[in-house]
Amino acid sequence: MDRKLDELLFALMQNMTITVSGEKLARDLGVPHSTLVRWVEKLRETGVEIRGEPFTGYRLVRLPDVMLPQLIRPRLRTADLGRTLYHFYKVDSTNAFAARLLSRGRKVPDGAVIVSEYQTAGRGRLGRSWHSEPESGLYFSMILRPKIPPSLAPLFTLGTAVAMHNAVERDTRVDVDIKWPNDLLVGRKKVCGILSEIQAEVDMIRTMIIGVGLNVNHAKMPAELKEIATSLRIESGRAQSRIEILLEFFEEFENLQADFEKRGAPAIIEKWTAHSSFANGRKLKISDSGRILEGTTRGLNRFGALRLEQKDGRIEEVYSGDVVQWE
Amino acid sequence: MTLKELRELIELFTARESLEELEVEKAGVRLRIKRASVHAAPAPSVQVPHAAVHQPVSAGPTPAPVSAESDDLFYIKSPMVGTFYRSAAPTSGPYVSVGDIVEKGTVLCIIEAMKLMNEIESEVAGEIVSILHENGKPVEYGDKLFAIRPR
Repeated sequence: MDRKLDELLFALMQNMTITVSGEKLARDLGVPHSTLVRWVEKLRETGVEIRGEPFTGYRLVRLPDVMLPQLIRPRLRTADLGRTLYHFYKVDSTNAFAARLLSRGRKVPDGAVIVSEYQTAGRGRLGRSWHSEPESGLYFSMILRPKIPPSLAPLFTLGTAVAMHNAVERDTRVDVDIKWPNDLLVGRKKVCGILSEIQAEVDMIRTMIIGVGLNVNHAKMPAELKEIATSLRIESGRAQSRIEILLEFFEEFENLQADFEKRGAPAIIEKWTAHSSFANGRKLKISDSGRILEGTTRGLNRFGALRLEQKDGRIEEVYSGDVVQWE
Repeated sequence: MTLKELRELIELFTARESLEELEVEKAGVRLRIKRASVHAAPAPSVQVPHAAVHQPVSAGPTPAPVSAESDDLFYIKSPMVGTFYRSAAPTSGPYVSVGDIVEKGTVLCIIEAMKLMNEIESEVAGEIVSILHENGKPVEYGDKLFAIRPR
């Protein structure tokens, strides 16, 4: 956790137009001057532009787009989600950090969120990597403890896709689609990926980690990804606020969770179906552990599995795999 | 035939659902493994008839008869429908192999459904006797995944 760097950056942001002496900053933060000098260097390494020297004082060159807890916390509208925030400038992966946090046996509250400006080893399914770019993507993981059996856990990842779909559409006005089970697309290109992990007893989840990677302000995608992935900035033609989207998402997700506790699976299935063009009547191909399934979609079952009508009219309920081709 | 070789043979047999029967003879030891029934439950069962092992090769401790049907084994079952993965990524090694000693809480495998990875932990301490599903294949709710001899 980079709490000290956050405090320094927040202090600098509150004095945007003036140069603050190193002595004063060190005194305000309660650390020796030598420590402050080190922290300034660390912040610079993460890409924050700070002008000045130890004995002339420091000033921010421009307001950096950083997911500071100091900026997020006062604006939270949720009961639990995001109330505990771990903010990093750089971490291997937010899911991996969440898992380490839990394995250390620390008491981590429900709804704790790990957010990082950059991931050095962003993960996808089965060890695939996720392209991370500093200050461009929204990378976070949630720690939850829903009182449900493991078989219902995938509903939460579908719910995450629904909540992010709503947050992005409301905040950016970009049209977003949900590809089964939980990728967000703009047109035919991926803009958001979700990867979840659970640790569970036989009949009850112990902890759940839901990781989200959203491409927000990438000016362009790397050559090898630009045919299959995009960012909200590319699609909307302007930079978007990661903090606004995150706040909107938190609220959407918590409401959906409350509805799920009241009404069960339909609370999520109905909304997913309403927002996904893949839910009904879509011809597609799914690659699942070496086999290819082909058919027309006929909604989701109550666990969130995709009902796929085969050529012979039989319905196959698909629980895993990637939609690799669609019309 | 060492205990390790015996285990490997059983694991090989268990993983190949097309195999109905396997007979091996080596250094005076003849081993026959046969599926309990052709139309048995989806999880293949393994039986090693007592009589099939004629004589231990070495003077060391006699390997206990291995039988996935025996009552003293503990079965780890799948808590959900999904895909069975023995490792975290295709490039990394399996979490556990036959013969490994595991503790309560050791991660044994992952069941994946809808991009949700469920780490399955051992509910008992003991030795992995057999692995009853093939990596990357679908499993049903309640399918037996691992047979463990509790310690």
